[in-house]
Amino acid sequence: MTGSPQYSLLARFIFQDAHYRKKAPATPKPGAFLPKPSTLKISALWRDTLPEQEIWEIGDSLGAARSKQPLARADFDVAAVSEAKLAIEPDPKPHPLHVNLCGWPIGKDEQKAIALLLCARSTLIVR
Amino acid sequence: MTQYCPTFDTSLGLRGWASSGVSEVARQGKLSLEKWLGHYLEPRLELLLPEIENLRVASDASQIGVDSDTISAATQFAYSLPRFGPIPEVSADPDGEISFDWIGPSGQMFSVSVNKQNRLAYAGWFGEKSRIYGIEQLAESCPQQIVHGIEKASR
Repeated sequence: MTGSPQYSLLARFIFQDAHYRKKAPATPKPGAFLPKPSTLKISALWRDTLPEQEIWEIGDSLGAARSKQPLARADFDVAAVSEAKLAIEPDPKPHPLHVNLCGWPIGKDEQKAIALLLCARSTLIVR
Repeated sequence: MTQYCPTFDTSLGLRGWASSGVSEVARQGKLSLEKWLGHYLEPRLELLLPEIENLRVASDASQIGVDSDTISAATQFAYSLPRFGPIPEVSADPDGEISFDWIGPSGQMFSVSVNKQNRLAYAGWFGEKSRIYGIEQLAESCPQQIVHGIEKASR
């Protein structure tokens, strides 16, 4: 699955200060997108229909498991996921609009190339 | 005639000097040059090395495991970095590797991740039609592909 017919906009929450750059050009850094080796997937949220405040509230609930609140988020279009050759897997357990981006390569250099692509296609929203 | 002929590399540190000078004058010349270079280079390392060391503490808070071997490899990589251009931003990757990121004024990016096996995984985004990625091994001097990546991201 590469998307959901009714949605096209995604958000990736950033929980670490070092994973985004605040000064110009403000941008997420590749570390914000890299998957853990144990899962080879990253979490994201369909945000099309959500007001700003609700996006952050969902981020808070997703971060509760690790006792962290999102400091920022990277907003991007589903087209970037296709371009990165990643797959979108619905994962509605934490939230109905929550998904995982799967299909990451094993090679760290290839992962970084994908992470940079997603950085380039994203808009950083600082909380 | 007394000659001092150091082999210049691109590294940030002062290691790896090779000299054919053997006289006292040559040795004094070498010491003077090192002192002079150190005056300009040390501030870069003074900024970068504590940031790398801090990742050990920061990783505890963020639950990312950055171990001593990775810190050591990242420190060695910092010493090998070119003397030109901006100082990279460092952070911990989710797998415990240490990432060095250069972000240019127009959004160009170059990123190198160092692991405890001294492996350097790099990727660069310099525009829609200019992207690179690859693997290198940590060495005394910075691999050329990485030097080029830093140059391109810094323009």
